[in-house]
Amino acid sequence: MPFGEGLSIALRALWANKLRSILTVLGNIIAIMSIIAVMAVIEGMNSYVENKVAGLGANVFVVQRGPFIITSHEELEKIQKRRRVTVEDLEQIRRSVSTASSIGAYDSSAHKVRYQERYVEQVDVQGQDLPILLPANFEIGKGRLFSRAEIDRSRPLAVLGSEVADKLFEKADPVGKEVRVESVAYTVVGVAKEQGSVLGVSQDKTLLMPLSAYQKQFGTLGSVSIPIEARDKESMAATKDEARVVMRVRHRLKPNQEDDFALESSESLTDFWKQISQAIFMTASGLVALSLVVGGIVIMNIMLVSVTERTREIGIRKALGAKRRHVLWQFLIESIALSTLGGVIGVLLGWLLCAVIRAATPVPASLSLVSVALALVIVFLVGLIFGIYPANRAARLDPIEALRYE
Amino acid sequence: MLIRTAELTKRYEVGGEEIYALRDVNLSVERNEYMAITGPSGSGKSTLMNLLGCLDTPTRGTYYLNNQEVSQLPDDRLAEIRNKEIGFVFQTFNLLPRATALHNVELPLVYSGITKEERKVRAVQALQSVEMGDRAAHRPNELSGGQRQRVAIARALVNRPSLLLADEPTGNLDSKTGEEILRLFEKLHAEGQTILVVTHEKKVAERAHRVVSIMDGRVASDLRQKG
Ligand SMILES: Nc1ncnc2c1ncn2[C@@H]1O[C@H](COP(=O)(O)OP(=O)(O)OP(=O)(O)O)[C@@H](O)[C@H]1O
Ligand SMILES: [Mg+2]
Repeated sequence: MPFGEGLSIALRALWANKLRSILTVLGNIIAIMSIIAVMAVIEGMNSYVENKVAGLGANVFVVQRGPFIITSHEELEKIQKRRRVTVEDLEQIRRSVSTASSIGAYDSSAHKVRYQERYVEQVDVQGQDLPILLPANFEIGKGRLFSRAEIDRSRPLAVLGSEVADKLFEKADPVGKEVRVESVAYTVVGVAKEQGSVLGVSQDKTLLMPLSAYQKQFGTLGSVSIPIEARDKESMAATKDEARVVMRVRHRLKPNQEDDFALESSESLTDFWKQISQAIFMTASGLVALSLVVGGIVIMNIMLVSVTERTREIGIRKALGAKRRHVLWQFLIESIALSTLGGVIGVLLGWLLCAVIRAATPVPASLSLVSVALALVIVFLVGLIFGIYPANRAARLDPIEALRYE
Repeated sequence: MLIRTAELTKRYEVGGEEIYALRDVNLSVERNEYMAITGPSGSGKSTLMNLLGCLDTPTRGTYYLNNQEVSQLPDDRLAEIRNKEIGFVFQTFNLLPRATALHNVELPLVYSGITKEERKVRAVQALQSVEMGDRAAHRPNELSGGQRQRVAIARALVNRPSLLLADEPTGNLDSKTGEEILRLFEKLHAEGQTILVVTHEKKVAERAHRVVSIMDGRVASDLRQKG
């Protein structure tokens, strides 16, 4: 029997029982929708972590009081009790870490920034000690950055993030104007290029000033972060060790004592994310597999009902010359079509779910062709595997008994 | 010789008891015969027809159809023979309810792997030959009993079988419609078709040229009338 004939029989049979068909494949719909959504979220997060969070740059690590990611309140409390990382540490590191290619420092806190009667609240005000600027893709759009000499002289200069510039100045040129951070005046020397947002947090609601100026205004009680760039990937470990030794000596740690500071690199972030995404993926796959098996059993059950209902039809077809394989394929195609129908609906709903996630959360979920293809292969196999038993049963029916069936 | 059976026997076992539905039937049928099989209920008519129609295999004995021994062939070979050599007409029509008349008639051609275009041409021809050409797009529930049986006959003939097998073809029809079907059989016979009708109605049996009556699974009489 040609495939087209089998498909048209199958589709007609499914269409004749629309509601039943939909209910039958509910398991598939949910499973595929979840797999599509989970894969979209994980993939979105992956590219996000790679592009944005890991924007540290490949050979950069940061010396700071605690790790980038703090997972418990206890850990936070412990870290807050640690000694601060200070500008003196920075100077010592600059003197002693010989293998680094460049070393910077920054501190930051949220403040209100004003220009005349306009203001922006919760601006990420960063005191920066060049030459390293994070994130690695930071670029000046207009004007300039402050110089080494200006940093050393604690000049009250500012570089605005694009969002702050837009809100305070609209279309006017901010360069040369004077803005106020809380009550202190700063002269704008430059505006950064737009950088977009990371997990819903704008990277452009920022104001950069020399670290020395920052400390003049906000004091030296904050702990600074010291980004250090190694010459290359190979020397990263050696450079890290050097920085660690300097910090341990400064903190007078005994050999058996743990570090009371953190050395963080982009790997710390990606490793952490890999752990989470693997856990999510494993849990989701387990649930999806379970619902696919349940869905498959439901499909098998409905196919058995369908075979029984159509016993007479099978008898007629056999009397007219249908061979076993004709009947087998007819019902296999039907169960595959049924399962795939569920898969297609699941893909559509998953696609919708991605759009909702994208709109409602900062997660950049996007549908990937790979997950769609994977989903369709899976539902095809579910239809095939769970269709074998009913289809085989139909194929083996005795034509006389089938014809006599009421 | 189209059909030749020797000691054709069908035995069933029900609850440890042996039932002979058919016992040592020797029967020969020439091409272009019009034959009726009659007998009381339970005598074995349907059993014989199932065997001759290759829907079933005998417990014992031989069956030559077109000089080919077919009594012990595997399922799929029998399906092939049913498809090419035999056209069935049933008392309850046995049309697929969801399919149109045209599609019902196309079915045997589907299973012999004929292309869509040719299938359609031949199915339309078959429907026209039973005067149902204008009902091709109708579904069975939109047709009268007599019309349904005509569609079933078109389906039985569409693959040009050697043998038309009809089991109580008029059993579900009123006498006027039944008469139309019998006249159609006569016309087909005149065109060269071999026809075998199972019936317990005397009036139906009388129209055939040869009447075989079965009693308790055996041939009780074999009479030629007319021609
Ligand atoms: N599958 C079966 N299992 C057991 N016995 C059977 C089976 N099929 C038929 N028989 C028996 O074989 C005998 C002949 O049955 P068959 O159906 O051939 O009779 P029939 O002549 O067609 O009767 P009717 O005119 O009522 O259709 C009956 O006694 C019946 O009970
Ligand atoms: Mg009978």
